[in-house]
Amino acid sequence: MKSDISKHIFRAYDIRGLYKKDISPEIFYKIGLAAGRYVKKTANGKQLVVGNDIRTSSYPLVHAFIAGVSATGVDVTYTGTTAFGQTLFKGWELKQDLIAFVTASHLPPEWNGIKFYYGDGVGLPEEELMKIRDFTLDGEFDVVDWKQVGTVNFVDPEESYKDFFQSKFKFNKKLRVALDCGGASMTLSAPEVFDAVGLDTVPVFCEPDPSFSKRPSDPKPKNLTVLVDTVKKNDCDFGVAFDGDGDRSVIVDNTGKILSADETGIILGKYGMNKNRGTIIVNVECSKAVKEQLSPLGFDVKQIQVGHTFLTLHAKQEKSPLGIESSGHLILPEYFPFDDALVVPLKIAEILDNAGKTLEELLKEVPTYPTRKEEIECADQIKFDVVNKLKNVFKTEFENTNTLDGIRINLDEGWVLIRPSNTSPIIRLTVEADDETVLNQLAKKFKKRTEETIEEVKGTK
Amino acid sequence: MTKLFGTNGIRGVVNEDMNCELALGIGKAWGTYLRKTIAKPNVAIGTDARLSNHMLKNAIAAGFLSIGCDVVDVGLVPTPALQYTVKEKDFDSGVVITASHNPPQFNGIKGIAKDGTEFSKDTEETIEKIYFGKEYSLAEWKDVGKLSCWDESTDIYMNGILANVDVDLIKKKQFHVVLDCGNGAGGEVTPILLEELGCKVTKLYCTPDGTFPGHNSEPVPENLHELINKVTEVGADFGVAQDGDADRAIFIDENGTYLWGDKTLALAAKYITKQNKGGITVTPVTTSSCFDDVVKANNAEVIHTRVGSPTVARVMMEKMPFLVGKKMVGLSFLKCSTVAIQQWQLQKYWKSWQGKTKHYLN
Repeated sequence: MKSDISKHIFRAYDIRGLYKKDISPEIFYKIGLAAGRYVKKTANGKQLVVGNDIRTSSYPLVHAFIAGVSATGVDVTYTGTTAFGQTLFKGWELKQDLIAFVTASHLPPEWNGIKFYYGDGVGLPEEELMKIRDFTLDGEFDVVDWKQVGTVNFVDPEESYKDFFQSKFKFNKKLRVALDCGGASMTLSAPEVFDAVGLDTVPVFCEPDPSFSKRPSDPKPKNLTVLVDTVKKNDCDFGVAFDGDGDRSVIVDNTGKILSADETGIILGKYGMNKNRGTIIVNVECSKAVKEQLSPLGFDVKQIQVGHTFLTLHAKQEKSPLGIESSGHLILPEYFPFDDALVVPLKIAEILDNAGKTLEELLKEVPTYPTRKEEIECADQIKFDVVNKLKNVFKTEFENTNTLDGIRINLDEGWVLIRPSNTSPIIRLTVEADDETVLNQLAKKFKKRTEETIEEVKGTK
Repeated sequence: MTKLFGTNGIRGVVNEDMNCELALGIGKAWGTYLRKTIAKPNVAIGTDARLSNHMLKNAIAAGFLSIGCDVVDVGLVPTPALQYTVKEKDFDSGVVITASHNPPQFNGIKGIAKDGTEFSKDTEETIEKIYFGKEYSLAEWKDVGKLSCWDESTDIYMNGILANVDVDLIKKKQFHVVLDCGNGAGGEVTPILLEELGCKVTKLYCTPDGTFPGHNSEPVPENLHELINKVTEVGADFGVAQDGDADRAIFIDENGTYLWGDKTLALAAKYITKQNKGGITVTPVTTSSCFDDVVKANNAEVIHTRVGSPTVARVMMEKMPFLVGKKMVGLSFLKCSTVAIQQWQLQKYWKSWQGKTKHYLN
């Protein structure tokens, strides 16, 4: 059977598209059939948990998906409209074979999609997602007869999720925290959990707003002006913002300074690990400050390729105490193995409760290096060839390189990373250096080298 | 002529002709039909106890939602409870996922109109036309519907019945009833209701179970041996069996005699037309002439219709009589609601005639 479903909705980390244009209940029904087949054939299981974020189009999509899964004979536990972490938590708690969450993360409200995780909350890697893609597209499903149709149960994760945090976090001080949910899925869990653990919450966009009219769901610095003002005006101990589904958080200190994910990661590693040691997972885009700060404390630091799926996967394999992704995914496996961002502000609160210092003071002990990110336009068809060519050249040209994900050149005065984007027709250039002058020199030099190689490759095609 | 809808909705073998694609498409077609006249329709969906109910419910719900209808999932309910809910709670439509008395490999979709009656042929034809032409009015992302759950449907149904029967009279009689729900949708609500009426209930197969382990869900004599034996064994006043979605009831008298629906209906009609001193009754052409005999003897008129409870209900509403009959005992009473509160009403009369059964039947 030939499928009319676009291949392009299947991305490296998830499935996503514009509602009504790229994705529809019919397509999600088929994805449900494929996910059910995947559970039976590949995971050798029979149970799946699914929930959805607050996007309006999540309703038709999730119910069509459930019908598909059920038709293959796999039992479904539906958690309803939740924050990302609530559904992951329930799947992990119930030891399911596969967890699915209907969301388009930080994308605009007309988008939607679905993410898949193993039962312990580790994201499905690309090659596994591609199996679900192939099952969807080849149209051969394992639809069962009436006797074997999967059951569907609704389980509200709200109480057990809240109880979990209540049992893990107790504070001596009444900390004041500005909470920016951006009107997105975290409105369904964060205010309640913050309240339950005894934080004094100053809410910012904590009413559900499925069209994200108050701020875009991507918590980029330019979208966080209201949060920063709220922190300053209310003398908050810190502030936190979440993305659309709740797997990324951004921390703001008591002066209103927005922390990078690396800085937050360093604070968590330096002050939040108690006696836990082991290998901390960071991706190749992370600042060299992470290693400089955490190695002396007895941690090993392992660099991995970009992508939060790899983060949870490596953290699980290494039994890591901490995982840091420069895009804002942070994991604290002492609680659970997945990247539910709600745990990050709670851990920061615990650190401040114990430290007797403000977050600003703690940050002063962490050096920051100037960094720059550039996007170099390059057609999808040649971007991988260009980066491969650069890899070969730089491997011989420089002594200390790393080709986990694109190529990273480690120099005495800083480092450079060149990698193709998985989602857009661009090559990403990331540079970090000891000072601005060196930063400018490195950025200029490697941007030029990349552009020259693009021209060369274009010429040969 | 409708191709998908039969006399009682759409039926088929699960994951063969009755599959999710069909349910999804019907949800979209039905939603499109509602959206022609209503900006934001609300639809109640309930199911019987069949194993494929959740699957089909989710599929048809996805269809409604994608058109921009709000959906309320009322869970496992007798069909009349959903009909009553649609009318009482002002839904624009109701959906029952059920194959009534069919074997367990079947399932189906039954349509309920705004007034609680089953869909008319016209409505079914309109929906089919939209379905086959794929003329769906799909909503934009911001206008799709929401789904919520509501579990009070059986409560309001039960209270509706209790408010319309003579509870004190029935309680006084302290009936002993053998109830056989055949593992159908009535299994949860019917025992409670009878107990509320002061009856002692001996239960057979009152746990809803879509594999129908007790017996086939059609309440015909060959499926009810156990019930019939139980009635005489325990010395019950009567026995009652329901079909899979609990919109039909069959009675067994105190001697263990199976009463065909026509007989029970005639009995009720006789009592009511006598109380009412005449009036108009409506019943399909398949009903036994014993119905006509008893009704005419009380100076009441009989109007015959085509087969199918929607047709009967519609004629009934047109003519405004006080009793409607359908073969195999479906009774509707306008005085409380046009919705079929059926077997409970019948029980009221049945119970008030205890001891006089033979007299009336003869």
